[in-house]
Amino acid sequence: MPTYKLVYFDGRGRAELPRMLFAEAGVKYEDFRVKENWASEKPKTPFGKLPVLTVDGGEPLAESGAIVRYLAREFDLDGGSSIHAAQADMIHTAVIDLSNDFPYFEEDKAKLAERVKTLEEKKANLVFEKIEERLKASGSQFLVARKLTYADIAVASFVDAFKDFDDSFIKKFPCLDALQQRIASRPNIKKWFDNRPKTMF
Amino acid sequence: MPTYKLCYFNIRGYAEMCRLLFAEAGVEYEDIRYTREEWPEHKPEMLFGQMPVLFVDGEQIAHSRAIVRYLAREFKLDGGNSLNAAKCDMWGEVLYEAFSKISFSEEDEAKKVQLMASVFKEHIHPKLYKYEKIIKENGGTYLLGEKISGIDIVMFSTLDVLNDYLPDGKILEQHPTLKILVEEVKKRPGIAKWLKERPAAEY
Repeated sequence: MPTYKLVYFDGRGRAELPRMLFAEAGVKYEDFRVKENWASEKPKTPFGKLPVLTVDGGEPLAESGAIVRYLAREFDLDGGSSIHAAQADMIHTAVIDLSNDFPYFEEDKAKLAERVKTLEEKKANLVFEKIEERLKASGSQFLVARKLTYADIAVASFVDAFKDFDDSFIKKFPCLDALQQRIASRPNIKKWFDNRPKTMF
Repeated sequence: MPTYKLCYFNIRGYAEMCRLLFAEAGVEYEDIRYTREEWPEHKPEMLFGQMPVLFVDGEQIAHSRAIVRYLAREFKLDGGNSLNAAKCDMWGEVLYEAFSKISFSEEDEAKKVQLMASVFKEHIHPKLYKYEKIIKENGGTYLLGEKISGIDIVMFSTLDVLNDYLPDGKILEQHPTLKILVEEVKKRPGIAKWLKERPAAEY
């Protein structure tokens, strides 16, 4: 097993899904959190951003999507075949793109509510409706390949992050709600949720 | 071999990199191009109401980046192992983000030129220099070395689409290593054939 080091700020954000994949797979890694020393860490990253993943001390790999897809492939959480990997990819991309519009650090309460409403009405409702339909039609417990993939974990991760903004959003989508609850109660995921550092974002 | 159908508009845009991957691999596919008038009737067929979409034996894959990653994996253009695939993947995201900062909707010509110059200076040129640096470090023509991968084709496609759109197409003057990459990609048999035969498209 390679040595993994995941570097991010001290928060959930774009590192939380990679961390959930490590947890689900039961794979050890260094969960490095940059606190005061960003100025000295930044030049070590390929593009001045986090997260980055190093494997066996090699060149850091940037872009949370690339990291997620890499870990999913390594940990057999990508469905196994290229078509299943592509379906998981498409669902993960659609869901994670929504988090680009999360109104983090919006202090004005009225503005915050407005931004959350716009995100839901313009984008999130459509994406989740489509994925809900797909899950319902498949009659499966899982989104892709009738087994656990990172697409399921991505939905759970999204719900976990979005509940800070609207904790009843997922109730509009009963199948996906049931799915994210099943993921959250998987032993390794539950253990991670219970023990992870409590952070602001 | 599955049956492939790629649906998009009659432009290069985000589908051209997919078409180039099929061309490189020499794999047949149905290259569907909907007109603006035809689109509303087909929109409900697409999972997220957008294109490009790739149908693989009737199964739908949406999102151009997911399609590119799938084709690169299928056609063995993803570097041969998961870490190389991840490096290509990373660059796919980086280039997508950098180039998506270009706004084509600005109508004031002077402002447009100024905005374009600023996006190139801050976001695009630095990424292109970095890509070139890695090509040189790996000692070949392409990102991973001597062997071409999907990301090089994405790079080629992006530059190809932009070069016709920008008033003076001078991007490659600053990037001699990428100029070589572009020339080499153009010569590859599957790609050369496609470039000769592809339908003319505005952008």
